[in-house]
Amino acid sequence: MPILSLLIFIPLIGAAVILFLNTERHRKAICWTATVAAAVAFVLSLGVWVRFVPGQPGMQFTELADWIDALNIHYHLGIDGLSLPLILLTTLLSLLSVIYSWRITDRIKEYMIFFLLLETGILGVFCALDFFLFYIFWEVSLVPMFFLIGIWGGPRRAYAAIKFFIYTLIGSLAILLGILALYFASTPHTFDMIELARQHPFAGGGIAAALVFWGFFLGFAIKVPLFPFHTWLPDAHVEAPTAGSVILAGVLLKMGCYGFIRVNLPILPEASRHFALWIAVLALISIIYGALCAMAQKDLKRMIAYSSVNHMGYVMLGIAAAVAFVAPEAVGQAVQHSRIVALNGAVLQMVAHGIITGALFFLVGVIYERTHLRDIDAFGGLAKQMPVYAGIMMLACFASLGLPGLAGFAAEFLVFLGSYGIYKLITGLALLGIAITAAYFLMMIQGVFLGELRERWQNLRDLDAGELVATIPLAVLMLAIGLYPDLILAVVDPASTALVTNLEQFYRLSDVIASLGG
Amino acid sequence: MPYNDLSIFGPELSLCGLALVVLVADLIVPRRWRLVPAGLAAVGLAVPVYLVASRWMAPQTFEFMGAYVIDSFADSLKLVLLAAAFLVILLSVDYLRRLERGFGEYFALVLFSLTGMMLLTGAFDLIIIYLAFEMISLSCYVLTGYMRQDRKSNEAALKYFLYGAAASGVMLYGISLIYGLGGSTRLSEIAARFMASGPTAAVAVQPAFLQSTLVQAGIPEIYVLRLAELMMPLAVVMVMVGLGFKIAMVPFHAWAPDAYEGAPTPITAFLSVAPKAAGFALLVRLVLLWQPLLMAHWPALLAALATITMFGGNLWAIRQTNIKRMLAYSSIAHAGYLLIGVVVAASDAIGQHGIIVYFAAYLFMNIGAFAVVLLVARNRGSEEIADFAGMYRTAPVFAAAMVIFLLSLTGIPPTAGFVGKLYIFGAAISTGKWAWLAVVGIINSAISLYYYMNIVRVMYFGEPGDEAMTIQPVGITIVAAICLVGTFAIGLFPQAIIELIQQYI
Repeated sequence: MPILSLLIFIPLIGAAVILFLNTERHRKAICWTATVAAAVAFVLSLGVWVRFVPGQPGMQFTELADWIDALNIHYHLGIDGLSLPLILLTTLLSLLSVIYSWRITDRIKEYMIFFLLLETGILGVFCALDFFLFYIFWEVSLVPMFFLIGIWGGPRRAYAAIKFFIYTLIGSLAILLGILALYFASTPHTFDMIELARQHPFAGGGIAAALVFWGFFLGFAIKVPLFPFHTWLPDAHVEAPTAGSVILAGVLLKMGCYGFIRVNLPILPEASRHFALWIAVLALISIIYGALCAMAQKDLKRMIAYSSVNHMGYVMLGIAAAVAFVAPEAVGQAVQHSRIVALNGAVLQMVAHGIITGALFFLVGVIYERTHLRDIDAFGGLAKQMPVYAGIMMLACFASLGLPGLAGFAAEFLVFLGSYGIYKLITGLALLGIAITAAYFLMMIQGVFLGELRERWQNLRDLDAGELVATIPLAVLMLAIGLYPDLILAVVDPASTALVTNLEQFYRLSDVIASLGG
Repeated sequence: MPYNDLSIFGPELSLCGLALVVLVADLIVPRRWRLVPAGLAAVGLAVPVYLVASRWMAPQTFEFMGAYVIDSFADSLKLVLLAAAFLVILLSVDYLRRLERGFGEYFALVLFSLTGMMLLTGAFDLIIIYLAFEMISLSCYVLTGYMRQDRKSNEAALKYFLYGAAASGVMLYGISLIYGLGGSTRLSEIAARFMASGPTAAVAVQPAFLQSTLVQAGIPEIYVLRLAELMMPLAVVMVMVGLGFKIAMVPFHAWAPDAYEGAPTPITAFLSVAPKAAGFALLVRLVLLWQPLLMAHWPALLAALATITMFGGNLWAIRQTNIKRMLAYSSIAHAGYLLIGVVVAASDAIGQHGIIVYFAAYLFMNIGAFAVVLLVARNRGSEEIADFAGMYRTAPVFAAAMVIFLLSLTGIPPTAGFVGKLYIFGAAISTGKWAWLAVVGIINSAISLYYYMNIVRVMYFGEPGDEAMTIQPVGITIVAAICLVGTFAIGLFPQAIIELIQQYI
């Protein structure tokens, strides 16, 4: 059974069904259809997880069909341990977002259609193994987000939506150029990502390899977003509707990191190694700068948006460490181990950040919906008035700032552990980011939840059923992954070990060739 | 080679005949049946379509002693032209309802200009080129000014005519110079003369009329040769000016926005696709045949023109508030993307493939967008972008279709526009040397996103002010539906078209 195709297109089918329903008369039916579609996708992804064999080399659940023979384009799907966690994250956050979005009153039909379309696009990106297909899904995920921000967003939504679209389109067009360059550099010409990773079309390095690398880099770095390409993110987040922010921060950003792992590392290993230090430095700047910016924010949503810049910096640091150049005499078991740990940490951080930040955006949405304020200074003492809300929010904040026992700590610890073996100075400086993050989250908790409750907030309700359904699973996962990271790492570790081992072998070979040539 | 075999000339002849039938039908059928000529025109197009399609895969053939050529490249663009005419005829029926008379003439003129375009795609002789050119231009001038009561339409026609006449004049002058230097009107013979080792050698071997006249007048032969060497590129550039005008290439584009804005909207749609397709067919032919005439500078010159055409079209489009003007500038930008294909075609057939795929895509997405513009104009009475406000509620299906057309024009998958751009940019990258044009192309695609999405913003992000758009003429609906299907079909299943093209061109 083509389970991945089913998984990808179930949301699309849901959207098609909703197309024939009437906004006013079938409101319930629209919501139910969307929920069922998202739930089926989630269950299917769980099924994939159960049947997934960790450690089995290569891709699993592959599907291969002819598509455009003349250009050697195939419909090629498959997953490994690096994409599976992100697929689970996508289906989970999408389901919770759809449930949370039952409360949307305006143009619910279009909303749900765009949401399901978005889910199809994202799942497609994580499953596609043919660049043509990959690019189509990549762009398909762009358009619905543009509408979600532009129609259901805040006051400056049109500006934020167009800014988001233009930034990411510039990035994706750079990716397209990279894809075309790879296609024409390969013999026979192919868009197949696995085949390209085997061929290494630009193995010789040089200016062409660098240009292709930076093309992909630009596209993925805008998506991540890595400093200095991050400026679209705060605007998009602040203006996006709650569930839009959740998907944006929870999953869309991961598409950038995933791109680095799936494309730059295996297909352009030489250039990746050559420029790894640049990425590490940009990651460090993102970590420190993102944290400092977050600290300076008064708006809760803006603060969490900048904290995403900070957290994605850790992911990129881990990825950079996994391919970093290491002096030949130092290469050995220890370095290889560090690389694997760093890559594991990066993938785990993606999942952890998705869960934590998803929860944080839900929770900020809750308070904004009740008060129409997101200003930290406007609140105080909410812990008394909304104990459940405060409890989950504090848990998410602690998870985000890296309290041991919670998901964020497990991930960041691995990233630092791994990258310390490669980049000692950068890792040391990056630790500053942790301290700053702790500072602003604690200040926020103090400002919003502790102290005197203001009179105007004495009628605030605590979480309702829909909000609980959306946030409780995430809170549970924060604990579960924090206490037992193997839940995720069991599938990630074999895949990242395989990737790092392949890279090491490639580097060893190319170094030998280089030394012979010299 | 039997040059009296007219069957090869069948599509053009049948079109001519069809135009005459439509004219006569307009005279004899009573006024209340005035849809008859339109119907005849639309249905009658099946004949040339059949004739072209049935020989589509036939090998290259010459006719009229090498003055006219038939190959798969020209025939592919002929199919694009015929499809464009068909869609435009459907769009026109409702638009022309206000006309007191001259209903049938309109369609006859469309068919006559179409005949000219078909001729131009296969023209292999300077005389035929010029005749086809004027046949297109004269019909289009009249069509642009067809709304005689409308001052804008009048102004547009006058501007189009003045610019067009000047461009024709320059081109004709260039043609006469080429004839004087090359001694023939056949493109292939001219090329053959200059082929061996540049103009100097060729001229020295075979002095043509102009040279022999000059030498007889007592001018030393060495000066005459120098002069010929200098004049040939100049003459070629003059012909290029005429062509540049036809395809609205910067810096010969100034007529386009005014003509597009003032012309009847279906004619604007026609002008934005069909003359361009014909012009590009000729441009590719000239570039391929006449490479030696401009020596190595053809591709570089075209690459520079492509760059300014893309940037010019896109940057000017941003400022427009009238959708027809905006689409005019957007069509200039698309000519720029297509010019990349021409640059590549100079060295590799993949450039020609790209041009055909792009035109097939452009046909559907651009005429589709015009269909929606017509719908809005029909309901709101003007073509300002502001009239699209809140269309998600006042005409939800058309608004969604417009989103698809605009995304396709931007080049977002899974639409036809993406496949077109993929092909053109891919062609540029495959050459290596012209890869930077693909970079320019993607920068421009990002710029174009801004003004295309501005329409989406107006349609979707604002609140609806007006009542529903209840007038939804059949012709417009059918065209929008065809274009929507075409846009998705090429976007999702391009293999059919790509395989055919790769096999035969």
